[in-house]
Amino acid sequence: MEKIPIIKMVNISKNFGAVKALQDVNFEVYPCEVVALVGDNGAGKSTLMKILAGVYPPSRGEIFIEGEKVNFTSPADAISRGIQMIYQDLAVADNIDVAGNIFLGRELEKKALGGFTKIIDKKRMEELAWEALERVKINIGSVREKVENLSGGQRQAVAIARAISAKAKIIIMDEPAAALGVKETHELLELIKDLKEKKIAVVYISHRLENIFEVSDRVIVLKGGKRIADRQTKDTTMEKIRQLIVEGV
Amino acid sequence: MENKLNSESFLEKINLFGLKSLVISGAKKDKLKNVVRIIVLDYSIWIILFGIVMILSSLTSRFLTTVNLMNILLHSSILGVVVIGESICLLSGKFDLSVGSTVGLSGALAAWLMVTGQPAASGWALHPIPAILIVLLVGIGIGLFNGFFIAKVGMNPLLTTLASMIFLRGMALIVTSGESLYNFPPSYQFLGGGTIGPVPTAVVIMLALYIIFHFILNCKKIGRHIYIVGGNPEAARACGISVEKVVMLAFMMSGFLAAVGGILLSSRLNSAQTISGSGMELDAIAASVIGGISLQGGRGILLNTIAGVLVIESIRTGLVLLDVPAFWIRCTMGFVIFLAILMDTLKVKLK
Repeated sequence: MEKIPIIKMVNISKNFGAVKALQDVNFEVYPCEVVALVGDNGAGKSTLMKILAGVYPPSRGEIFIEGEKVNFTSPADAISRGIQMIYQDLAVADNIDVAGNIFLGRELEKKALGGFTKIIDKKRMEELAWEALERVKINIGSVREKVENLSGGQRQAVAIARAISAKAKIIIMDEPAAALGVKETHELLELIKDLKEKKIAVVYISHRLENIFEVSDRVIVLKGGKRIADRQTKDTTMEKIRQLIVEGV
Repeated sequence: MENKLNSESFLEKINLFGLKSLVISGAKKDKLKNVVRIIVLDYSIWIILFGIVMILSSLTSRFLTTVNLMNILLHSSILGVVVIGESICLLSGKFDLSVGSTVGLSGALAAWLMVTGQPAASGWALHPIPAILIVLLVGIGIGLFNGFFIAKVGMNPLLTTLASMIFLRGMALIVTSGESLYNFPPSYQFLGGGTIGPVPTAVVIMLALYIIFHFILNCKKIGRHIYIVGGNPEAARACGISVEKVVMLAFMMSGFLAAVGGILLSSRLNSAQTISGSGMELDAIAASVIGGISLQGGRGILLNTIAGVLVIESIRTGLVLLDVPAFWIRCTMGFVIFLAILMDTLKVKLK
């Protein structure tokens, strides 16, 4: 492919003490692409993505965003470069309302008390939260509802709305369907297809091959901390991928 | 139409003041029902306080008198100031057991800096303003120390602040050579002992601090971040909030407010005793929890802890007026704290 990848990770290694979680892994995502990252438990999927999201620094290796080398020291760095990660169960703060969750960590402010101090602009956040929710086509009764009162699918939608409204170029989803029912999973997959049309790339970490084959363009397989396969989804089958995950060939 | 608009803007104003949950989601026709539901759920502690005051008033005619109520308010003001800090720590998902000792050390330090004519004092006879500034800075420093080791190093908050509690009590003894220091300058005595009009200065200070910190918690970014960190630290970290910084700031606020509490207490008593404020950390946690601040972090309304403080002080004063033996008062207070924690746990379970 001649296109410039939006994300390029080169020879990434990560050691936790004596454990080699990742060894010389290459990983790239092209614009508007849905990449599935699969592998057995402990294969290094989450570690690789946490490095991309700035949670861990890599032991070795380089990361390029749109051709430019970056050095993330915190999740805030990754977020500022348009990388948003949605974790399986810790994506949202239950005790905060929907609008607050969509603006989690980047609350809007306005001047108050005659310019003496700045306060959180709740009204503006609520307005923009509505817009973000409309873009993900999710029906939530009120942006003032606390997230703990929402269903699993709605919570995922809130997390995705947050990523979109934060101008994400790429959204990483770690087992997003783990806590979802059948109908909600279907809605999530529709949402991912929709993101693609919005020119947002997606990395989808999952064990559920049927979901992966429904939405992804490419499948990357990790095993024992190494990348063992990179297939176009349309050129392979679930059986082949399953065999790669389990047997490595 | 006019009326409706008024009630809407009224709700908006309440919202602005931070009592957000009063303005609720859902269809407008359910609004009234919702307001009732929220008052019962979120502000029930005020109803309980009212009930307790009614019961105590019916048991003894000495309870519902101006003198007694003022006395309760005055006692509440010092605990109240400390409770603000404790509540902030609890909201951030941590604990601060060192506030009682910080109260003691602050009073002792203030006395040591200002008092004259006693060998245990420094003899510097410092003016109250620099003395108060030093004490407040020491309070903030204590919070910074606790916060650093809990947030950055990852030490257990309970045991870290327990160690601070013991250490700081020792420091209070060292500062005063184990003696009581008394006779502060009159302007210092005004803080805890004076009145502004009919209202004790300490009560005014407490209310002012409640308003300021309620504003910070509900309208400022740092306040929102305290709630987020307490509710889900991983989500906070993932979205770029520095959890360490937030926790450290929460402890610094707690240390600052405990120092204010120490100043008010020593000022009211016009003396600094080495045991001042001992046990106050548990009263502070109890009042916070009674006021609905969850021990799990991230949940609760600061203003409700005023009711928590008043519940504790009303029961304590009421039992004294009823001539209940001191030992039984202790047992009762223990039972009240137990009930508050039980309620907190059940509330979480119900959700």
